[in-house]
Amino acid sequence: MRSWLALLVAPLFGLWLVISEPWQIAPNTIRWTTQSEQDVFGYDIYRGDQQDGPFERINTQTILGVGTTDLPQSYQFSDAEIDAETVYWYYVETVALTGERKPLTPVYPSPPKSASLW
Amino acid sequence: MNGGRHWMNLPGLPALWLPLALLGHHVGAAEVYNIAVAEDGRYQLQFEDLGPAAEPVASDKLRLFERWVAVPMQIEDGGDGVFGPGDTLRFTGRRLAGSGSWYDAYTRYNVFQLRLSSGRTTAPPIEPAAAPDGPILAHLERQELRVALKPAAGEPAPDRWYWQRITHLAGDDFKLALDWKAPPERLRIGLMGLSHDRYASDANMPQHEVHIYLDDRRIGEARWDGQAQAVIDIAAPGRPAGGAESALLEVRVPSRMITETRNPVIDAVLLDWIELEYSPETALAATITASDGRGRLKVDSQWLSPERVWPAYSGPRLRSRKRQADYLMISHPSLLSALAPLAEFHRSRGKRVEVVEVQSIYDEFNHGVVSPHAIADFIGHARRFWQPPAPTTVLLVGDASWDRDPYAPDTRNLVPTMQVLVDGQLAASDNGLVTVEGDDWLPDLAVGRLPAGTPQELTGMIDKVLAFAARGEARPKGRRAAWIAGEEPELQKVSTALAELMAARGFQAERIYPGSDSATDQSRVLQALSGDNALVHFLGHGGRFVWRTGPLDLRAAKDLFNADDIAALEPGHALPFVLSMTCSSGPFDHPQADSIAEVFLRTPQQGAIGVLAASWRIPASHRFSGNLALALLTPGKPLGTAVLEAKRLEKRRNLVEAYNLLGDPGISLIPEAEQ
Repeated sequence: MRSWLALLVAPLFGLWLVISEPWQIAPNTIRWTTQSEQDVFGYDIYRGDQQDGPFERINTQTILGVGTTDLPQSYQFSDAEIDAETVYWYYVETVALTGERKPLTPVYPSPPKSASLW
Repeated sequence: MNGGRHWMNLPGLPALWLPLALLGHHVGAAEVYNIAVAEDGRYQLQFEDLGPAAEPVASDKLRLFERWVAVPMQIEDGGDGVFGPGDTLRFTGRRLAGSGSWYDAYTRYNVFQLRLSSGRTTAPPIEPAAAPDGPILAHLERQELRVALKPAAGEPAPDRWYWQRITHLAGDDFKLALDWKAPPERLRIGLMGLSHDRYASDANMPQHEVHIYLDDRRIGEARWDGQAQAVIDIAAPGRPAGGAESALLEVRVPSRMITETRNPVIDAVLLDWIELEYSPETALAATITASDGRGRLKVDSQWLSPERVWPAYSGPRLRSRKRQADYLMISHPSLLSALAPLAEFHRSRGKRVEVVEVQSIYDEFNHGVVSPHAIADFIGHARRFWQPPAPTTVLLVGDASWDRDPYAPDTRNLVPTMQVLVDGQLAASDNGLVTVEGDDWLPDLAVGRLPAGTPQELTGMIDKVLAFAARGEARPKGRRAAWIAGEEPELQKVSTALAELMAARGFQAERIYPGSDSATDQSRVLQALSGDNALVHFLGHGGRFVWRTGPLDLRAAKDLFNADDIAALEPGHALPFVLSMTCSSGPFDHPQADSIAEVFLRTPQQGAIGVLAASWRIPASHRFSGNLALALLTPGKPLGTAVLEAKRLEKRRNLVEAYNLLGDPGISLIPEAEQ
């Protein structure tokens, strides 16, 4: 019988952008969850004005991860440096204990606050 | 009785008393008491601590043992030579040290055994032991963070428990106020590297840098690489300014920038312990002799009370070679009554069932100390020395947890499991409990677990087993199996091959592969688990609570099934056995968190009759799945035997160790009559 191997871990995530009420110009809050982590140091948040970048890291220091776990974890970051008229694009990057960095999420937009104002 | 202060010193017994201690372990009810202590210290025990049933006994017949070796004690009996109400027993208690670590990895408690009836009638008083030469040590260590690290080549396994993770991020340092009335001569900090930033190495920077501060004064530092231990040894750490009686110790990891990458060095270390070393002349409130020969240990100045005192097992000896059983059921005492119907069920089918209370195993095979290794020792003993035919099957009755407090009121660590290193993490493994012959890692007996935390949970599981057995006998055509796979073509190809393999043996195959409509996919999975499938095989990505349609892709991968869906399954049908061939769907040893495999078992009248699931990240294997399916669907073959046979054909240790059978290993999926 042929043997077949594949690592069937589900390093899954969800990412939600909680859009602030426009008249308040409250921060954009990026929330994400992980189904599991292995050898994770933390997460960095990147933002761009366009879907294909360029992107800039906006957190002043890495958001610390749990490290190695099979328990779902929830994280969030609030971006207060925003302009109400601008569409921002965000993604989350994983920082491993080895120092390596990889995108955790796709790039997601936050629509301009004025777009849904009235 | 206690009529005033009158101390009798009783010595530890010489080595020749050891065989007597072993032989006399079973001396009748309440003649041996277990005394659990957690820390090094000076302990005292009141006669009343032995419980209301305890009877006064001649003081000179008392003996205290630590791992079968007699230890000195003092008895304050008021001079009447009888240890009774109002009297006190004092002794030096010691923590349970681990192999290469300050504390044991599995339990907080060392156990001393007090025998009330020694064969020796006189015991000369002894002089207090002279203080040994050498320094006085104060060792500070907390077990807050469980981390699996690979052992270096030729080195013992690193400690599994650490005090705190410290990183280069601002505010992520360690602070502790230390008693500094008597300044130590040395201060030592035990650390372990956690990160291993390769970009730091590329830039010729150390992967770790740690600074030690005392009252904001830098007194030590270390630099090293990798997941390795570092001990910072600071001589004459000094006195706090102004002669204060406490000092603030800080352990900081500085932020260092890698010029080439413009990123900081990812630097995470683990604080393991802190040790203060005093000169032998330092006046400290209380010390005891260090068990490792390094002088004396500073201990609590108060007399400590044992954490727990209870009568040791006094039933028939498990070591007796006159015993015989086919099926061992090892149960936590709180579950014995609920277990009785299942034991009776198997006895009614001709099995010789031995129900064994797990504490009796600790008492007889490990001097009362909780350890999964004691369970393995007992199983190995029964296998080798009990009357033939030897036991073939083991049921572990009770949940397990890596919680180190097995006596906590809310603990789920009722029957412990082994912890094995799988893909960089400690994973629950019952396999090691039945790996009792030879030097290999293959199981020698069938093993399964009913992960119940309460009698009610166990009754729910057993009711499902009994109902399944009754239905199975009336289910001559229940030869159906469902094959669920994730969306990746390779997974579906393997699943199809397995389905065809079993179809050739007469099992109707239902294949469920994700399509464009996730609601339909989910509905079909629910139906497969609610129908009359004998076996449901899932091959795909998953986690502790979910089966998924695909790999990492937020927009595409969806939940096919999760633990909450189990409550929506239809009750009352013939429950399937679930082969959950995915990562981490059965880590049953978390102190609080559940898992999908446990929910399958624990949900009354619904879910599954049994589950084989992995306790950590694990690769799936076409061959392993095929061997499992062939064995499980063989008429009359018990679940445990089927899993045992498939594991013994397996060459990958991780698969064998990380996949655990949750369920009764003694029942068969397909009745013998269908042969």
